[in-house]
Amino acid sequence: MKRIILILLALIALAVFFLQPEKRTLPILGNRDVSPAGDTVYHQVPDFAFIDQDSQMVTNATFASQVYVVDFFFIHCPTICPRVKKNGLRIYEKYKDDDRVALLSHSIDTRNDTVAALKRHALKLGIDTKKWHLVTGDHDAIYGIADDYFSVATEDPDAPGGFDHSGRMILVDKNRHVRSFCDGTDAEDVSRFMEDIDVLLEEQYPK
Amino acid sequence: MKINFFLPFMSLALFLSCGHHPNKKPENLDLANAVYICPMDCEHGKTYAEAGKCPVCGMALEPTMPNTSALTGEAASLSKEAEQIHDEAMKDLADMNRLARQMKDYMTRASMTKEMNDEFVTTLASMEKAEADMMSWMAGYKEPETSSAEAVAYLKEQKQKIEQNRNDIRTALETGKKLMPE
Repeated sequence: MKRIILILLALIALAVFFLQPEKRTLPILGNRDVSPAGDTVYHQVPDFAFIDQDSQMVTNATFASQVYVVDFFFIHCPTICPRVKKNGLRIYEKYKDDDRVALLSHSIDTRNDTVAALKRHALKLGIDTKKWHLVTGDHDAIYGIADDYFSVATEDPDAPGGFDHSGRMILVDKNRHVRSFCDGTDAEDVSRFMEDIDVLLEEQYPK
Repeated sequence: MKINFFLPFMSLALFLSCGHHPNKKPENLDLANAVYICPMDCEHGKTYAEAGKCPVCGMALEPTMPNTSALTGEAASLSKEAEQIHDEAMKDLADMNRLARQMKDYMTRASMTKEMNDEFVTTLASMEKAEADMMSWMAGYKEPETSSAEAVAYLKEQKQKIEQNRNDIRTALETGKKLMPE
């Protein structure tokens, strides 16, 4: 009897040991190069400078100590954006009090979505500027950076169409690397994406 | 005793597995058209045609009104068609914008004949106009609340506008492609 109990205990110990979840890490996405010195050079989000709903300049430096979620939208979009916005609000709510996370939504309707229009939109959504920047800027600069993000955040880089109306959301780490993306119109995919944000936070902010 | 021991854990598990209540109970519930949803929305908005139990948490499904537009008949299909054309056009718009950037870049570094230069300028202008038209279509478009005859007329007009816009975008894109050297 005693032996059986011992064997059982040993089995339980083994099970506990092997069933421990393996620590997951997110890959660094995008094309990579090898520098002359032999180091791997990963894709980085290029330099940008846009203006948010409070007329503040938003650049790469704004997110120097934050991981952030990128998407593209326009206020008058009748189809995809409302669904993406709903999911964006889920992310916003979850990390509302967590300064390590921010959101960055680019308007692709630079003509109509002025700073004043973005401000009204932000007030309607009830969002805090420091947490969720709605930005506008030079038309070609916004479409250019959309292409850059899209070339990383897609399974098929040759697919027609761009990032700007795909409903895609992407996750960028503190080092300007793209680490994950999801279909912002798909609630389940966004839930998976939010787990990725947690994994990234654990990696970038070790306790 | 055993049951008493597990009960708190079971309720905790239920609590953890389910999200917040998304849909308020509609005041005028038309049961003939209602769909059924888990009160905890375990499956993120998934609805069922018939009453029953949630496959995730086991709670009884509640009737709710489907989350679609109020339009019926011709108005409903017109509005759907207009939105589909819009989504198609948005894909081409992204390609067109990319090409416009390449064309502008090419103009700064290539030596061109005056005719060629003019063609680039005209095409870029038509691209810009097509994009502006798209943005104003969207800013102006409002899905009607009823399916009245006026609503149908409005939707027909809107659909025609967005169709025209989609064609403009395609034409500008094709013209630009022909102008740009490989």
